Amino acid sequence: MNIQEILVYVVLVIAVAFLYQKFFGKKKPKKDCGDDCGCH
Amino acid sequence: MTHKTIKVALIGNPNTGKTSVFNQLTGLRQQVGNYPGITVEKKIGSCKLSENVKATILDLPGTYSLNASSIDENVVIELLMNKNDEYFPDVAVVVTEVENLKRNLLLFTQIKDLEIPTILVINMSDRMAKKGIDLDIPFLEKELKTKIALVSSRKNIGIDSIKNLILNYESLSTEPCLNASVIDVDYFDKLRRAFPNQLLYKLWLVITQDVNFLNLDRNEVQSNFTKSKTELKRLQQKETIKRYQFINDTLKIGQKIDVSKATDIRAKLDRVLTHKFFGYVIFFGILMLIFQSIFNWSSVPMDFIDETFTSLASYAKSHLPAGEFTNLIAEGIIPGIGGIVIFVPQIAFLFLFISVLEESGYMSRVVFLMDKIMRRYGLSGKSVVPLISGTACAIPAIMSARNIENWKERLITILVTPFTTCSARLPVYAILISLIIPDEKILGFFNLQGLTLMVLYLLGFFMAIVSAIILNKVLQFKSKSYFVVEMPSYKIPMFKNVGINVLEKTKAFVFGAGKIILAISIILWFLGSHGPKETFGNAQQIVENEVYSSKLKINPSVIEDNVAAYKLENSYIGIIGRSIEPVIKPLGYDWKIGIAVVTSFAAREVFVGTLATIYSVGNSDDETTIKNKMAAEIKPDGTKIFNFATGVSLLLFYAFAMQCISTLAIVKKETNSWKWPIIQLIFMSGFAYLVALSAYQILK
Repeated sequence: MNIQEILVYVVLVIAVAFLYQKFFGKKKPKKDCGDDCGCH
Repeated sequence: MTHKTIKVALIGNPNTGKTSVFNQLTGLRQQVGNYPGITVEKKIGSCKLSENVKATILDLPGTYSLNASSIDENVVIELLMNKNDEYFPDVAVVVTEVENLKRNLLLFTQIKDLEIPTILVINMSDRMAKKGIDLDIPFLEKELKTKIALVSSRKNIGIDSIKNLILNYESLSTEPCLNASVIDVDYFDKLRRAFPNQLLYKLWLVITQDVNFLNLDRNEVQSNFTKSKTELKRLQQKETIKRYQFINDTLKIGQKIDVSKATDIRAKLDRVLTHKFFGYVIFFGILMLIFQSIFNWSSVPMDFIDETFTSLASYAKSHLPAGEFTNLIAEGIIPGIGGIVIFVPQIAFLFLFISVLEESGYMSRVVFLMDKIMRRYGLSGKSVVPLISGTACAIPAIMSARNIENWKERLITILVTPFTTCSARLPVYAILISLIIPDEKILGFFNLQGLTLMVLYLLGFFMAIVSAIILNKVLQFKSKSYFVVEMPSYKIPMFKNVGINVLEKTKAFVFGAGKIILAISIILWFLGSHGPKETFGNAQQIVENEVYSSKLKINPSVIEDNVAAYKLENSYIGIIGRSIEPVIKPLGYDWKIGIAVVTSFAAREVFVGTLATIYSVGNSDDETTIKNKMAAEIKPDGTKIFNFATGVSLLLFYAFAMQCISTLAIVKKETNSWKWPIIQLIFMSGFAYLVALSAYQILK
């Protein structure tokens, strides 16, 4: 596995973890979330 | 050098220009957030008062009084009652409006009675001459026991005087305006004896309001001093009457209004804009103008963005070292982000128009106009606010239904609001319309694409009304309701306010959606670029074998395209897509569209980003824009995938489907039950499927 492939898998894991956190993770009180209502 | 920070709370009735004052004081030094646990917007800004003193200004939600009837109003009371709150103000700045001083002063007198140093800002002073209003400021300052800043936030007049007053807040009197105990002397005497160290008016608010008060045991206060609800209501009314008597007496001397000097055109405008026929014609005309402009004005910047991202992807592919990660950047990340950034001009224009309509005072007339229609269908006049703000996002729109007192009307509003076209649907509509509707003018003026967009928006409103009628008949709750709307004065919108609003909303759209789209694009690219070894891994060999066995002479570039197409079809995403194809095929969609429809449950605009990623993976031509890639997609029989029938079917599906996980979550939260979001999901998506199916089968 070369460095480019490793980078792809790292980015992939981050993307999956982000989406999981966004839709299934426990909501922490945010200090500043702007107008991000979470629907788009 | 020591730096001092003064904490300021900006408080006022809605439509007093409080936010304009906030913008003038803080400029762009603002942070927008939410209050913990609730989704009421919290705006904090900072303002330099002198060389070593600055102010932290908290712009509190607009409220009419300290008798809370909504969550927004609770926020104000909870802050003012809790000295331990990190934002408890050193000084309160109450913003009032010169034309509605009498009503605005009710809140001022209540805050004053909490013995917080309070500054009175009388805004819109530039209108005094036009309205024939004259104020005796020294008299008012003496009677109201405060300092007054006469300002015009629109014309940036008097802002410095607010800063000066804040700087010298320690010299302000904290003496109350009114002795609240006069409403029931015996009762207040008992209270005073039981809690000698507490402020009487605070105790009264603890008893009458549902707020947290950290230093006192609510139960102790309420169990010993509670009265029946009717009695408390009667006393509250008595308090309000006493306050208005005080305000009337003060203004009788301090404010002179000479109507003969007024040069008012408000009444004339109102007669036309809320006319039972012309009011609707004008509203319809304004809507037409908005949607025409969204398409016409944004085409140039959109084309520019599209071409820029296409060139960027091509540049990345040719200049970065060849490999998997470069492919991810060129085929996944850049097209995915491009798929959202391209719609920034349209989103910005939409919010520009909405902000201008709100700022000018016209939106309140629309609310009033629509109330006449809404009432017939089981909705409240207040339902108009969620329905209109639903054009931005259904989440805050559904939450804004909290101020509808009647549960049945509120529930109906919550259930039908997702039908209104939110900004997330705009990218989907825009790209599909540009693919299937010709860019032509009808009657020499109306752009056909803009007209189609308007029809889709109206369709959303229409479906919301139809659903409301059905729900009104089905839901058997008995209740009464009333409707009060404030008509603010007409104003020329302030460029600064409109600009900040457009900037904030566009930023939220790009960064809110951008992160999700980026993550989904990465996953989609991975699923589209990997697959089972026996088919995906041997794609080149399988396709070449097929070509050789057919004994046809085929151009090498065509073989390359065939390999790319074969790979995509046999990738993980291809396998998932083809497994759902039987369900979506009757609607005219292929598996690629199916994947885009499924992923757009995360957020509707993901649809475009998904297709951009899928078509980038399956396309050897890096120079083509998203729109061109979609237009070039063909079925096995050689006809276009995005033909008129499929396009209409998709447009109708997106017009009606419940396709936003976050909206479902907020409906659950607001109704405190999974029952309603599940009903909503099944009804809306089922209906969308049937309509899309019918449309495709008729038009194909």
